[in-house]
Parts: sequence; C-alpha cells; structure tokens
Amino acid sequence: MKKGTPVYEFSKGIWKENPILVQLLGMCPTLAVTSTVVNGVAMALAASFVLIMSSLIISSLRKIIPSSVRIASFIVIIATFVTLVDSFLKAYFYDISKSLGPFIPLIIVNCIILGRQEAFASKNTVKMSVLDALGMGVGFFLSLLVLSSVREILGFGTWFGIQVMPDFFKPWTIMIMAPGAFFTLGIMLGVYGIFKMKKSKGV
Amino acid sequence: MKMSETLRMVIVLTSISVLSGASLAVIDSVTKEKIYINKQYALNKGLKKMMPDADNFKKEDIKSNGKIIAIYRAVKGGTIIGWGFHLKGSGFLDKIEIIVAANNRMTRLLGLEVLEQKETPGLGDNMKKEGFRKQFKGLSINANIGFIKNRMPEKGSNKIQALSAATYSTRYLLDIINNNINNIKKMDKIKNIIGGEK
Repeated sequence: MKKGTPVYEFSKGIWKENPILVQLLGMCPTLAVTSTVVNGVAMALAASFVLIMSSLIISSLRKIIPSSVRIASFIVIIATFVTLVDSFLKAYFYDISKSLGPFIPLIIVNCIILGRQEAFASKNTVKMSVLDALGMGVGFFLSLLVLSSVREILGFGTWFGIQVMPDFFKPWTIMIMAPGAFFTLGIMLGVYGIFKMKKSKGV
Repeated sequence: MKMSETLRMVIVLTSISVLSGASLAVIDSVTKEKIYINKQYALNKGLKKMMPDADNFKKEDIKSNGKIIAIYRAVKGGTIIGWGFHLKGSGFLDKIEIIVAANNRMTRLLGLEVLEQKETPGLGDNMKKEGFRKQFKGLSINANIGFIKNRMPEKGSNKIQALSAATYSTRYLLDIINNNINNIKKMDKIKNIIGGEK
C-alpha cells in the first residue's frame, strides 16, 4: 500500500500506526477505564466520535488558523465536541452517561485526538483527515476491546457482565487495579513486537 | 505586517471561541430540560423503590448548616410513613449525590440510592451496586454508622463492610449520611414532627 492513498490513510491506524500499540498515545484513559469491557467500548466510541468531528472541522479550517494559535484553537474545538457529547448522553442516554461518570469529560485530554489534529488534520485535506480519524478510531477501539476483555475476564470472571469463567476460578483483583492495566498493556506491546519482528525477518 | 498577523490571531481565536460558545448554548438549551426531567425521574424512582407503600412524596427545602437540602415526606393516607433525603457532598474524587430513606420516626434507614458519583472505576464506583447498598437497610441512625474492612460486620454493630480497595469512598459516603442526618434531626421543626429523640 502506498502512502497518501485513501486506503492507506484509513488502514494505517488499525495496525501499522495503531495509536495504542505503536504511538503509545492516550495512555491515561487506556489504562484507567479498561477495568470492564462496557466502559472500554463506550470510551472508545465516544472518543472516536470526538476525533472524527474534530478532524473534520480542523482540516476544513486548516488554512485559516494561524500556526501560533493552533493548539489553543484545537483545544477549544475538541472541548466543544466533548461537552456536546456529554450533554447529549445525559439528555438522551441517561443510564449510559451515569455508568460512564467522569470518562466523557476526560476525553478532552486524550492525546490521540490532539495528536491527530497536530500531525495530520492540520496539514491534509478534509477527506484524508476524516479517513485518518476513522482508522485511528478503529485502532483505538480494537486495542481497548482486547485490553478490557483480558482485564475483565481475569479480574471479574465476566465478559460484558456475563459470567464466562468456571465457578472455581478466583478473580485476580489486581487485574482491575492500576498494576493489572500496566501488566496487560506490557504483554500486548510484547506480542505486537513479536509479530512485527517475525514479519520483518520474513521479508 | 506584524500587526496584521497579530490581528488575524485575535480574530480567528475569538471567532472560534464565540462559535463554540454559541453551539454550547444551543445544545444546553435543547438538553437542559431533558436532563432535569431525567434527574427528577431517577430521584422519584429511587424514593418509590425504598418506600413502595407511599402514595406521594411531599418535597420541602430545609436549610441546614447553610446548605439547602431537599427532604421528602412519604405520605400514605395523610400520615407520614417515611422520609427521603436528597444529599450531596464531596467524595474521594468528585461530588457524590445520593438519596437516603428513613422510617417515620427517623430512627432507622430504609435504604440508599446513588444518583451521581465519579469514584474510581471498578473500585469506589461499586457503591452503586445493589450488594453494597442493601447493607444500609435497617441500620440505626440514632448513632453514627461505621464501617469495617474485609469482612462482614457483626449483627447489631451498626457497621457496614467497606468497599474493597475504596476505603476513602466509603468513609466520605458515610460522612455525608451521618453529618446530614444528625443535623436534620437536631432541627426543632423536624423534632416536633418525629417526636424528639429517644
């Protein structure tokens, strides 16, 4: 795949430049919210929405925003979308909003979103920026899904709240606490590295 | 040249902020009423769940320690059968908003419902789970409620088992309940209705 084609810009976020496994961005929400799969998935969906909308607006304004005030402008735009999502969920999906608690407002400080605006949307066309944001969103979603699945299954014995482990299994409480998040992420990065090494040797 | 660049910065940033403020104002005016209704609905549902016999709940704002607290009289056929308290206070991470129900003489708790909390995901936020909340039913509020870690408290000790790995969330939650109810019970207006302390 060649750089600059629509397919490349979309698919790079899923594996080759995965925001979690390669760029190591947005670690705070990644480690903090993935104690259960429902929280992880909801976080990924809300963050992806904000990412796509911000990329759309910022790439269309890229020629107007002076570079010296670009970060301030990005933050204002991102924060607006986050507040919008927050109010929308509170009004129309009250139960989901209640279970997410502080996660939604925290999207403002997610580095993936600001990072994509700075590295991509502020320099590329609207179409490419939206594709890039979509790909990064999918990559973020899949990484959080794997991470939260491992933690919820080992930490609670459930997956999406449904019992999956046999009765004699004693949940590892450490997996739902901060160290469990670091262990799981470390193992995921290691596995990713092995895949990459094998691939480069094969070439 | 320099002036125009500065001017451009000011204009762009100002217009972005104004537009963002305007869109927030629009979304707020659209959702404000709906959010308020959702909250009232959750509150009424919680009261009804803890005091299912009541015909209606009469809201009353009382001033206690400079704060305004909404209390609800659960009425059935003209007599008071219970009380609901809408309490707010600081938790370990952010504000905790709960409703607590007590019997008509304000001696025992009938239950606890959590309306809003932002405690640690997976640990402190377990306070909203049924298994934790049901411990409050039947506890005495003539004395302060305490907690004990890692095991079930003895019967009659007026204690609850703290949330594992969230002792502070538990402590703050109990502080909100103990302090507010103590203050409310001391008020003359309330004393007259519940017949003084026994």
